[in-house]
Amino acid sequence: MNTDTATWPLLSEHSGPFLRLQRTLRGRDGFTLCVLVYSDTPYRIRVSDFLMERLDVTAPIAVNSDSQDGVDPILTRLARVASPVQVVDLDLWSAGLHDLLERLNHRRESIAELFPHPLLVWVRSIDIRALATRAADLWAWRTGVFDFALPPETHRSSVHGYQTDAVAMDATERRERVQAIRAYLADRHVLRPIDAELLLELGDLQRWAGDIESAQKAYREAEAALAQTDDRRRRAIARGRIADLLAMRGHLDSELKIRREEELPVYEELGDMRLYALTKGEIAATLTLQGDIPAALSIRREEELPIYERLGLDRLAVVTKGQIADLLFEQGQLEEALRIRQEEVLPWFEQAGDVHSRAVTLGRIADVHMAQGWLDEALRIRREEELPVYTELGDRRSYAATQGQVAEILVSRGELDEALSVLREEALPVFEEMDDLVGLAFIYDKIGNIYQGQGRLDEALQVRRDKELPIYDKVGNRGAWAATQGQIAGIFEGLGRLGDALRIRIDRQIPVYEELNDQPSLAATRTLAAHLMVMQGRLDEALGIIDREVLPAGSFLDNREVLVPTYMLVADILGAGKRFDQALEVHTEKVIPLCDRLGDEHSRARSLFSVAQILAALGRVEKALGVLRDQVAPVFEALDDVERRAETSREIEELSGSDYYVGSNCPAPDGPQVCVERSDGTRLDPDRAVTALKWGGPGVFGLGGHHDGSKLLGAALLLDCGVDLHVVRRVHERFASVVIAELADEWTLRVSYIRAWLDGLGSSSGSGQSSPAPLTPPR
Amino acid sequence: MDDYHPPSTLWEVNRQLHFDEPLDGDSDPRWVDTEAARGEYSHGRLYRSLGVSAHLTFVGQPPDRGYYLFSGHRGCGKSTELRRIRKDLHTDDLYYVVFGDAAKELDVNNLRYHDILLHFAGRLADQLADDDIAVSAQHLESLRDWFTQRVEKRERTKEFAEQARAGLGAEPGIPFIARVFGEMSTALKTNSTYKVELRRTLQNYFSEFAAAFNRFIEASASSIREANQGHNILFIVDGTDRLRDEDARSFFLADVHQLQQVESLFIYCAPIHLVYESGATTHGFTNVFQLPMIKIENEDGSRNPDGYSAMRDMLHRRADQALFSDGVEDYLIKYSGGHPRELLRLLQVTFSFAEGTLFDMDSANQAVRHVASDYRRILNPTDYETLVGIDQSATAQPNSPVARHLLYNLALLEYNNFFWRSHPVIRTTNAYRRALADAG
Repeated sequence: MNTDTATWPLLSEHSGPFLRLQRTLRGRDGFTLCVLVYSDTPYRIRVSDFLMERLDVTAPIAVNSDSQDGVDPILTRLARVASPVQVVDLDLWSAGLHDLLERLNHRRESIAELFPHPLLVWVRSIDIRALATRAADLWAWRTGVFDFALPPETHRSSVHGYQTDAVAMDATERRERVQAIRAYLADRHVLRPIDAELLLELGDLQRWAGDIESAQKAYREAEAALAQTDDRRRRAIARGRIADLLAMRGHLDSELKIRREEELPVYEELGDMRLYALTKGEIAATLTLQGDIPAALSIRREEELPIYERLGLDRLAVVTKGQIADLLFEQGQLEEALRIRQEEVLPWFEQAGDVHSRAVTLGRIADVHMAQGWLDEALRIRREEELPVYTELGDRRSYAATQGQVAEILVSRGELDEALSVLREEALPVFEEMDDLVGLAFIYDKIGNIYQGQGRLDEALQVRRDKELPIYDKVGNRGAWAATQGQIAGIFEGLGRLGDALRIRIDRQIPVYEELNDQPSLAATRTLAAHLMVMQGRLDEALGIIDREVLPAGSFLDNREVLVPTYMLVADILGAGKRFDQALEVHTEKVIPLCDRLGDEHSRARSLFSVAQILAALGRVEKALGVLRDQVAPVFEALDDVERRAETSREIEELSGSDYYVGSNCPAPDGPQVCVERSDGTRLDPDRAVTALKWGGPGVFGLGGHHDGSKLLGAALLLDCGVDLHVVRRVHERFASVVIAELADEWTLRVSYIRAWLDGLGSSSGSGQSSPAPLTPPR
Repeated sequence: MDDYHPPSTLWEVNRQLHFDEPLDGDSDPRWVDTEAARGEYSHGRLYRSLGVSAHLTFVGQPPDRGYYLFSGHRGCGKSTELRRIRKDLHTDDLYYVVFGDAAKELDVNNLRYHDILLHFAGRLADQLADDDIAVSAQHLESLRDWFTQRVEKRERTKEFAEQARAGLGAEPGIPFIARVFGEMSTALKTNSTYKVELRRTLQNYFSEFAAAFNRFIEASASSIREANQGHNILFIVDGTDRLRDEDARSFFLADVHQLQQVESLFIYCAPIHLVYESGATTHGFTNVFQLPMIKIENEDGSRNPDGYSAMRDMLHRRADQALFSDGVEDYLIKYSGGHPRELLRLLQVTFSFAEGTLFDMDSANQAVRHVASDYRRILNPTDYETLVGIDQSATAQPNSPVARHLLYNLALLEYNNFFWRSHPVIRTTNAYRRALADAG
């Protein structure tokens, strides 16, 4: 957020006096003497006009009577006014200011009696002493002194005139600028407001260099310098910078508190709607991080955008539209997100000749294409539309970030080596050279993911532990640190080190999320810990955690993202323990009523699908069929969920048939060799399946609603057996449960996330384009 | 009074906080008895001069004549205390108090002694009429005659006199006196075309006027006693501390003998710096009573609990106690220096800085800084050295023009026993600290 004055016409230094004057006059009647100090007449006129507009005070009354008539004519004019009034030009009194002040002093009571309203008297700063001594009694009745004098001309060293762009600068430039500012500040004994501005800039530079501690120190010093002034606007801006750091460190609640309680009220009171809207945007960004997409969308659409449109801030309006498209994208509204980008955002930047923003927008369009599975088009945009522009403009940061996204596409296409090469050779050196820690962490995360996908768990562990974690430590990003710890736990889980994985979840992740009050991540991590406990055979403990810690938090949040899937997980665990009645009860008593309350028809249908499977497992096949036909299939049909509709049809078909059988190549249901085959009869390519599975594998958490025996078994074996697989086809739940029960405990506990992943695998493999995108890990 | 509830929101506090209204003693729920809080000060000394005991009864024979000055810092509560004195003494058993505020009722810009006395002749008549106290016409004749001879029959004021007495008969009754002297007073205040001429008349024939006024006072006092509405007349004149400098010197120094040609009991409000400059007690005034600041600290710097208690009461009658964060009341009191209006100003400025629903410490800090900046605007660099010198001096007070100027603009505050201290907000400024350091 910069500090220019698009909607605040006065000097920032005068925000405090204005706010205090506004506050003093609000709802106040009776004689109220406000002394307004000025030093520059044109600026006084500007302030005066602003006060007329904002505070409903009258146009100034000039003291231009002939002094021979005394002050009575002035009082007569005042007496005719019935609202707050400004009085100006005291120094033009023909008999001199002192004469006027003495006259006014002696008519103090008359003035108060004749004018029972706020009286705003403009006095030159050089005349204040005269006012206080020549009109001491009038001065004694002042309600307040409000200083709108221009700051004294102060020496501006060359360091002040430099306009920096911390984002565009490279490490050398940044270091030089930091040194220049530090050298200047070291020579100053007393900081002035203009120096506070320098401290904010210094903090920005240090922040971009990843030196968060120094940045925080600079911001705090700026804040302290501003605390000695009446510059409320700059102080709010400084607080905003501190909020930025809190957000970086994952202290989102604290950040939001500053935005809402310290920034917004000031900008609103000042009428600085530009800063107000920008701060709203920051709040929306944080809500997005917190997963509250509807709230973020509402702010962007209903609060932020209308302000920019009203103020004619076209660029900000377009940028906000782009952010709205991002949120729609998050909500899965890909077509609308694409439409906004293509029809509203892109043309504006093209017309404005802003090639950089055009490239960024195209990158966002590529994101949508990627989600749509159009990987080739996404890759083309990245390589042909984005990268050349950034190269030409010398925007190395965007170049490196885009290379990271190229690698992501390559991964999705299964081209992992190529992806690794891009990350290592194109992206990493740039961020290293720029000392851009955030960028580096972004790349290391991708490299770690690839290693995990390739099963190179030791290397993955090394990248996470030796590269990523130290960066998050240094920049103080606690949220990302905890998430990386989650990745490490996942790796340990993959290595079979369940105890280590559990310890990380409990001792490292959960305390951080508690500290950050990040309830969704807490719930997810506790659920994962519960998973690990189940894998260790500690079923009751796992259920206890979910019951005591996850579900109450979910209820508190009323967050179906947590609550519904968690209950489904509970049902899964119960089912895995063959506690079918209890599993059934969870679905019917918890999940379905919750879905009804939330109006979540899709989850309700998924829950009923599981209910049907449990009923079938209990031998109540007709009842199960009834549920599927009457309550599940019509819903997926109505919701146009093709995949689940097909799945339901298959289930109905299976239950309708008399025999359950194992795939043709499978020697026996209880044999050690079990394989995976798609429903169309084609076999899953083992190499690709394993790689892709592991890419999204350990640590990935997907909550599922039902047990598809074939997928469960296949996935479990994929993980365990590597590439040597056979086929299990159309295995019925009841049968699968039997097989699973015979496998190692560990396998049975992977069911939920493997199932979810395989759901994705099944759908994308049908398109023939690529493996599915990795499942999103918990925050 | 019991029904009174102080404002319970900051906004309400702001709406009701005005600096232009003196409180009318205990009939105003915001009034606080500060007598004990001002150190050893009490109105007892003044009352004793008027023959009144602490129990508000006469002790011995009350004086027939006396001219008292009531002084104190601007905003220290003089007007409020004068109203309280009126309330205490205006009883059937004590005095018939005629109260007037020169600052409101007259033009204090170029105000002379005769303007005041003429005004109070009208006020006395007015008040007698309101109280249905009759004075026989024969005792009013001299005043009526003065008007007739010196105003009505003069060519330049004849027209004014006709207008002033329009509708009145020839009978010199109370209504006549009230009307014509009231009209004259108004003419003097409003800069009418007759002002100069009326003034000249008053000045030229003041002795005659004073004699006539004396007869009127004497007869009125007699009627008042007969009506059981008091034993004697006491004039309380507020607002005369507001006279411009040269007018104040004339009024309290040069013209003091003319002032005393009217023989009665008068309490005049006087500017504090003039009292120090002139040593007014030796110049014809019977006695000088100075209303000190509320004493929040003793000379040794220790806290005076009575002072804090009274000022806390003041705050809590302007703002509900629940509106203050911990420690804020005492903080504001400390930096008010015991000056009531400064305390209210600090409260007002704290409101303007407050961002929440309370008077919090952060806002109070900013308010102190802000009020200190007001003083920075009006003090000379050398003033700080003077202030430091006075603060460091144990007893001796430099009665210099600079010190008087500092007293005048409230940079220097006087406490009982006549010890002076710089205003506490000034002591927070860098300039004061530097001067203190330089002083070793």
